[in-house]
Amino acid sequence: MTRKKEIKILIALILTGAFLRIFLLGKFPTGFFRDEAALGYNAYSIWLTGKDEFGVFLPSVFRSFEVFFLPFYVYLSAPIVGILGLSEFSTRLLSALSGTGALFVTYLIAKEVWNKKAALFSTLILTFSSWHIFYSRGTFEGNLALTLFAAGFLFWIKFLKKKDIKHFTFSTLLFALSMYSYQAERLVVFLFAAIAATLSWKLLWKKKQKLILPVIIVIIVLLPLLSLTLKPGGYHRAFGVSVFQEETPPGWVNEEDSSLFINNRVFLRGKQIFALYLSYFSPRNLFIEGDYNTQRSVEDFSVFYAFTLPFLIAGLAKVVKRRRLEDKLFLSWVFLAPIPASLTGDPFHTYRSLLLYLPLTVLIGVGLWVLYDTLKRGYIKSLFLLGVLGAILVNTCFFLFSYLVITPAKYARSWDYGYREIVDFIETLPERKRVVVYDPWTEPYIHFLFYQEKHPSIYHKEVLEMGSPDEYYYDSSDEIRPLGFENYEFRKVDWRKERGDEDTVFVMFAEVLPESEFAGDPKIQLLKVVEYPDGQPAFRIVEVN
Amino acid sequence: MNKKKFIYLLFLVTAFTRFWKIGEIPAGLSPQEVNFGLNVLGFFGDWVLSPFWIRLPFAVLGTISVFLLYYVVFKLTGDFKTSVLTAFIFSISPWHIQESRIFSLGILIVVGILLAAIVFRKRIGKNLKPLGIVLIVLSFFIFGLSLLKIPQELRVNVDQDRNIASRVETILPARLFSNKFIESYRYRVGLVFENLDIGNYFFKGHPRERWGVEETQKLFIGFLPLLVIGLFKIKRETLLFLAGGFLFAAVSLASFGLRAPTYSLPLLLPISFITALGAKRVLAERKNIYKYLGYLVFFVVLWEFMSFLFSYYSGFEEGRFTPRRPVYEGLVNYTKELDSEEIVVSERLGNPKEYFRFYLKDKNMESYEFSSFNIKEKEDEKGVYIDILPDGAGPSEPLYKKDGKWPEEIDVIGEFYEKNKGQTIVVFRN
Repeated sequence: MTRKKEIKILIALILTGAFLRIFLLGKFPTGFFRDEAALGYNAYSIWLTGKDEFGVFLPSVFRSFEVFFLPFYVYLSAPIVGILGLSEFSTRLLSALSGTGALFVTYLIAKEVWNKKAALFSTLILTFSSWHIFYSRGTFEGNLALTLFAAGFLFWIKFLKKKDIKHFTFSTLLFALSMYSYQAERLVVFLFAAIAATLSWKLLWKKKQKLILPVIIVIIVLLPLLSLTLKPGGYHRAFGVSVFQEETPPGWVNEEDSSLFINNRVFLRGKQIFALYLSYFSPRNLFIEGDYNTQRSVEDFSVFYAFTLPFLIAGLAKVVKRRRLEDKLFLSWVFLAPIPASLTGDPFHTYRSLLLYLPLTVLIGVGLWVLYDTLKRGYIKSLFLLGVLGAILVNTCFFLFSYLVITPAKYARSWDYGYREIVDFIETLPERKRVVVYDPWTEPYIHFLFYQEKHPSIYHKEVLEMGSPDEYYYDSSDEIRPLGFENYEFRKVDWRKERGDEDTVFVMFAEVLPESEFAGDPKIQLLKVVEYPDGQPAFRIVEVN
Repeated sequence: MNKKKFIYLLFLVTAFTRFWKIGEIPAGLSPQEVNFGLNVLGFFGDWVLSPFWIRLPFAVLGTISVFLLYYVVFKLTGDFKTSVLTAFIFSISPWHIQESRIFSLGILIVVGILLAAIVFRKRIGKNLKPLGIVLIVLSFFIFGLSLLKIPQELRVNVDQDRNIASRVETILPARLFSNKFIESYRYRVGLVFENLDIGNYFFKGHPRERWGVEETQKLFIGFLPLLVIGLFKIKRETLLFLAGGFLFAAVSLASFGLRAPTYSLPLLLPISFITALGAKRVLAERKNIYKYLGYLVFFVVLWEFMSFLFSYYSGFEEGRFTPRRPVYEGLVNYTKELDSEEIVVSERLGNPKEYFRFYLKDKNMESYEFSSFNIKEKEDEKGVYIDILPDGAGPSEPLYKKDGKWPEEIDVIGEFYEKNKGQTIVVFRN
């Protein structure tokens, strides 16, 4: 294949990938999840004031919902949101651009480690991958982290081959930035660095004097993150979802005490973690079942299309047999990636294990190359290519149908659908009344701040009334946030008691406030019913006169 | 090496794990076991209606299958180590132990496959590659045919999706992307991939247990590294044949919608063989680090085996969707003590007539009536009744407990809780 042809194919793939990731980005996925709103609004707040929603200046993590988001996505999004305006599109754009960038990085990795055919096949698979399209189209910091990690890996391979210190510097910096982007990378990068250093110790020792400065730079870059590690702001998220939060592991017999062979806590916990770890390699999960959470799922689709399984096996067999340093590092990436996810209790959490799917995609590409190269005759090669392209096209069409039509209707609730419609409606009301928004978790405030593009200073004022955030921002994982701002309140509603509160607008989940609760009451007027895309009522907005 | 010692040890382990407490563990009988007993009642008399005699033939066949496997592998490979390791792994696997101790179609299928393998061993040995290809082609053929058989619940899914799609676009794309053929394909592929799930084999379904399917411990975790090593050591033709066989079995199961562990038991045959190859490689290892890793793996297997024995023989291995109903034995014995002319048993208990016939040895059945009833409609009909109260039942349930109290109209004389069904069986006078 000529260089010109290679470049043309690559550009076509990247442009196609960009289209699939960016077109109608503000509309699909339908709805706008609270974490997205939080990341977007905090980026907006940073742009306008240099402070987050709590009024903390350039924080090292973002406290929103006590999730303690890592900061890099927010800081990189700030100019995008600042220039394009606060919207779903601008909030998601960085993730989409990261996803598009990952196509090129993947091509370079596969070309560096194997050859240009494997590289093109890998890019082809990634371009149309359901998992990558999905995570590139939502505000997922993990997607940015993935691209940064992949770029770090690329430069590491270049460093091993060319022994150029600038590649080492780029690699370590990119790895460090990925650690600032998502929680999983904080563990995986550390482990990967240990393995990479062990495998390349001879080269590192030879170049030790020239490496001192880049290492110092990276340590300085990581200092803010490292300093948080022992504070709730640094560990709350990891500890909060860890398997060790569960009192008893699966397999525990309630009627029995702990003993050597029955209810052996060490064995059962170890077995649980190992089961979770291996589930990330299970074909049933990778090709059929998908994520257990509907917010991270597309109906009827999992991470990979089922027809790619044989190519994955072929690619894995090829890489395992080769045993070059690059292959060992690549496999290290594969086997380290699901570790953070397997330490949490959730079964098959695709977001936490996002780092795994890029190298697996590359392995599918490698498998395609291996099988393509084993075919002898030209026309059989052409038929093979046609078959693969056909399978990709058909699967992608079915995926897009589900993603654009079925999933929005069935899973709109999981994406907090409806708040834009609520805010738009409330802003049309002639008078400014007290608005009470029902939510036991007090989280929709962020949607209101976002869609109304409220200046951050308004919310900062509410936060300050509770006390200085410096006292608790990094040091407490308790839920500390205002219950509202201006004329808005966000809390649980006791309808029986509060239905008599005059001059109040209530925004309630439809199932919490069925029509029977207010029908026939002359004081209560139904203002609007916000419906899900499938026509089911989502929210009822009522006014008490 | 004294080969006979290994064979004696194999027999000892196999026989012990299959025959000890066979009448008591697992507790309770499945509907299949009960029906089997009632079917052979006419041939043998009512003495056969006990868990011990119902299960004994399968324990015998299970034991025989271990040695049949040893024989098949020995004849095909000519290697004693490989054959005895295969038989050992087969024998100690929880999957085979559990299936040998119940009425099991899987045991019958395995014995049939092994007997066929013995008869055709020479032809099999010489034609591994073409047989493997034939099995793979047959798998695709069977899969294709199975797509034409569409379960009713899939039609409902199709209608639902089309309903959704019709709101946003014309009917043509909806018909193209959502139709019974596509749903059937997804369903069948899903079933095939269930047999490729690591959790299904090593972790009792965890972390994604299948709803409505009995999940059991099939293999030990310690087998996994041996299985992986064995995959690298196996010859290509053998791998092709075994992979073809595995695929054929998985597709056949998917085609008939069979998901219970008994139906997929034949998959244990290639798994045991490949694991044995891995074990043999580890045993032959001379480098210290790998040798000690090998010892570690064997220690883990031994540990898991002991842990399984303790757990299984204490009755802790029954899963949420076990078909066995240990509650019936106590319930039936309880009713025998009642001084009542007639006892009305609700069909909601699930196969009550068969279970009562079994435990009563098909005698005195005239005292029992089996029907569907609502006790609220039987105010004037006095007598002893047996019905269920599901956990968390609402006021629409006839036996709903308001404020923790039974309905006033009834006098509860006995309660039997069925944990895995999430219900209480209540014996009461009206």
